[in-house]
Amino acid sequence: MNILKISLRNVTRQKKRSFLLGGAIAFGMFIIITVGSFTTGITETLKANFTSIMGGHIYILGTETLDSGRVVQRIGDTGNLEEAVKTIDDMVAEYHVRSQVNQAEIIFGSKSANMQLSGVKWDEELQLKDTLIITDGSLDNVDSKGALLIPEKIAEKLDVLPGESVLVRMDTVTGQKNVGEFTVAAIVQEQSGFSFISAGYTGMAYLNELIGLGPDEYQYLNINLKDISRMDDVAARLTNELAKTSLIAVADDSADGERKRGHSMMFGGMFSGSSAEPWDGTKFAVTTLNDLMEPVLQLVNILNIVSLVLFIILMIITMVGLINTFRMVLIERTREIGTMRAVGMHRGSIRSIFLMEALFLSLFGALGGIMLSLLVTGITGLIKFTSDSPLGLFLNNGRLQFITNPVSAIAVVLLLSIMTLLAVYLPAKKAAKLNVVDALRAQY
Amino acid sequence: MKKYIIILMILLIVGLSSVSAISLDEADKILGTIDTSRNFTGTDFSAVMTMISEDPETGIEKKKVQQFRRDDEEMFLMLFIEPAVEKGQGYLNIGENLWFYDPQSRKFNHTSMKESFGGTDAKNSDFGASSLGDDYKVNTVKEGKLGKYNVYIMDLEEKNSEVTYPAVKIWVTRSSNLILKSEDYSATGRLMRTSLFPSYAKVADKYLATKMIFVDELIDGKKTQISITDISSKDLPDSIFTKSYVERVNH
Repeated sequence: MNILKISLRNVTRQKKRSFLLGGAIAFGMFIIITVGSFTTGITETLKANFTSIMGGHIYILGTETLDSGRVVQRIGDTGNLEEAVKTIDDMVAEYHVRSQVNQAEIIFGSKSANMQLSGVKWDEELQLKDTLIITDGSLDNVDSKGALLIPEKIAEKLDVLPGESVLVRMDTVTGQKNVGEFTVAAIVQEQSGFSFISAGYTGMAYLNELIGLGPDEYQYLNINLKDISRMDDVAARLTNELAKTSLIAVADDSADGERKRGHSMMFGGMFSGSSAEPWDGTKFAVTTLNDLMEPVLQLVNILNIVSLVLFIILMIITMVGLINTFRMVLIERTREIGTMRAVGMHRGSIRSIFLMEALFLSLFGALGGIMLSLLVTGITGLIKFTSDSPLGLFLNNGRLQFITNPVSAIAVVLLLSIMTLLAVYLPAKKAAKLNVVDALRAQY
Repeated sequence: MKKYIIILMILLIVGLSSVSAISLDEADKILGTIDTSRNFTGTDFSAVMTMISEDPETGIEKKKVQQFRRDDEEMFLMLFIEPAVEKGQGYLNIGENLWFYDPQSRKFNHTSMKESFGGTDAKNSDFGASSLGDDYKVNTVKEGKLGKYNVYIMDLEEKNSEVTYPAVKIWVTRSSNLILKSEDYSATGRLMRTSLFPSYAKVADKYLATKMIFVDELIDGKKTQISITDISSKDLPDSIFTKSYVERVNH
């Protein structure tokens, strides 16, 4: 206990020096904890946003070849798909089917705007109904034919209100032009983070009619899992089951890989419309949330690596400072060390005092850095961004989300502690080995 | 009694005047004739198109496009000359493949004949070879008038799903089988676009519409007018209908 008391007292003896060293450590901790909180926060926010807008964690898209050779996005072969989905039933929270027009032009008088239009089965999409925030109108008659939900931005642009009729121009699955008449049932808030994709909703039956699909056909089957961490396993199992009865689009290295094309189709990418080799039945492409988030996750990993490298560089610089400081401390306290040895303190205790002093310094610095990070992230997390902010994709209800992982923070503190002890070990050892008589005679 | 006979005769005359003087088969043949007269077979074609688009939201835009066609091989190239911001963009069609070239990204992206041409009310399919005879069948045909011209008014229905509009109504001059007006309908039977062809020129035994007006029937006040000038039927080098030509022209 004496060693701890002496170490702690020594830290407070040279306040300026301790503050500067501790401050440097605190800065390094602040950087790594803040960046880590930011990347964890945006990853989780993105996952939630994607899950909300895409309607699930696993997405199955189907394509078929017509007699003319044209490839269309359609799942007509629902039997095989539904049988395959049954094999993963225990892991599924909810699944639902959708059709989608990626570039629907909504027209009101002389004004028009583009949006993505999803056809949904309202009696099955309970989660969607819960997540939609209605700003005008209601969902009471959303099941009626031609009822349309449009996002706020579109409603503002067109100056349209619930109850009014609009036209929606779209392409059929074969690329022909068609137009449908809709009634605006409600105006919804832009789905968090997706202000760059204006998304509207309508009943799937009517949308199918307009785009040339049969009443029981659809384009996507989206699955919500009970345990999101098993996403890739479940997707692999599902793909294997489907492969027993149907064709599977396989990702390949070429830019024209069908699975990659599937990704782009889900976000409005162009479809070439023809295939070199036609096939029978439906060809399925199974995509997961992780696949869609891959580019973002790569960016997040890069950010984490950069922040770790920065932290290590900062800490190396700080440790060099620490080594030099403790060399000076050794010189300054030579007589003091001599005195302590003279009254019976062992060499090990001298060494421990130095090591504990450095450890306390780094721990206080680390704590300071964590507190500063929590303060800054807390304040930044209170800032509300507008719905059309370019950060929209990364916002949770208009705000940046920071999630500090305690395990990561503890790991960093441990790393810091080890680095500190290593840095100070040699000066501490030297202090412990000082000759008592020489130390007492020192004139520093 | 006399009164009833007169009324009956008037009704007969009115009825007869709307009865077609040609059969559906003959009307189908007219479609083939239209294609033959519009397609530049055995010869190449080039011209400059000036396009003026009016949009109630964005105002008036003017574009100039250099057009090259070789209908025998189902090839065409449309290169934007004006405005400066779109200069170098182009549509290259070879057979069943249509690409849009963006000089900024230096990439060719697949597009469709059914898509809008350069954001105007014209479609890419409006500039390729005409194939009414292959793509449509005549459902009804009757005689009528469009302005001072005697025309056949034909209701066409698609034969395949490769066409942009499933149903089309055309006004064709009886004397020369030239389309003066066309109404394009959606699968739900709604009028989506009206096209007018008020003037034609004869180029190497073919008829070319030198003025075209495309009216968007869904958005009030939206239309595109196209004028065609600098028309030539001289042979074109094969290299024009290649991706490398499009890239070379730009860089």
